[in-house]
Amino acid sequence: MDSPGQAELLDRAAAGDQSAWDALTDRYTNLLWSVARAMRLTEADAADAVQATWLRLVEKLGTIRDPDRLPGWLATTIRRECLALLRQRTKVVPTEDFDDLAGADDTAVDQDLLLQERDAALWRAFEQISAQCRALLRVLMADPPPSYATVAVALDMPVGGIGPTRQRCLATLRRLMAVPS
Amino acid sequence: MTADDDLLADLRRVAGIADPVPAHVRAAARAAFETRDLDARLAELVADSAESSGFEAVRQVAEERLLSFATSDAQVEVTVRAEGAGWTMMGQVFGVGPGAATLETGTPGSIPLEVDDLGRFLVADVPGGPVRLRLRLAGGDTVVTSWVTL
Repeated sequence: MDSPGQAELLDRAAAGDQSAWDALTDRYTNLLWSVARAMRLTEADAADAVQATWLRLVEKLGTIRDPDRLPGWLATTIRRECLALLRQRTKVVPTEDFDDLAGADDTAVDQDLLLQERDAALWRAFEQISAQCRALLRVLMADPPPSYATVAVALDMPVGGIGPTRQRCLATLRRLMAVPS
Repeated sequence: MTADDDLLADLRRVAGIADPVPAHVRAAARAAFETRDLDARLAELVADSAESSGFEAVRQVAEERLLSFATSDAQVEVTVRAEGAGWTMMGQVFGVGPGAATLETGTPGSIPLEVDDLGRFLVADVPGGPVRLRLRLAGGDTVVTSWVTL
């Protein structure tokens, strides 16, 4: 990922510079949130998972040798946090089907906020696509956009599968939007 | 920009409206820096019954979560179970007997723990969210455990 200044931010944060830390969290909190929501965590659980990931990074500051690997480290850590939370919440180990996971009822979005009808239709279509597509697209929606390498780690899928799956999922999304609801 | 890139950019923009990062999540991310502690030694999480390799893991009912933390000279075993609206943590510190222990949550303030002669402690009504134990060892050293999310 092209991230100028990341090594410097990590160094400064490790030396105790709060503003450098703030810049790091501003850069990646959206990614972490996107992964947690892609894994169907409720808002409350997603908030806990994101916070836990940052707390863990504070713990590890100064031990991260390769700053370029920070996004991958964050993706791995939030994924682990999410899986542990999902197991703890459901008391049942999730299956491979994302639809079985807890929090599926929490994704109902405040449609009123989507003033533009096309935006609302887009989000409705997004919620109708397959669980696998929803998960992938939700992570890809992270802002700033994550690298495929980071997405692969977050969703535990091969990097080579992301491009084709993305293409297929977006095609499905277009078809759904073309159908009058 | 391809048509797919355009559509994804649209989705990204709509996600910013429909599923934005809550302000308190951004604030907590920044505030996490306040937990930075260069003096305490870290007791890493070495075992967690809630962790496993992936979704293919066997189905099982997990009423209790078992956590194990270790540093070179201290080991902490904790059992966590849901009770009422919160969590009950029951544990034992092995190795050096601690003089005092506290439970820290991601928010300011901490919960003092009573540790008996055998290093055992019990704390109830712990709210959900990240927690860690801070132990002041008899020799004066401080150990914190890795964070775990309840």
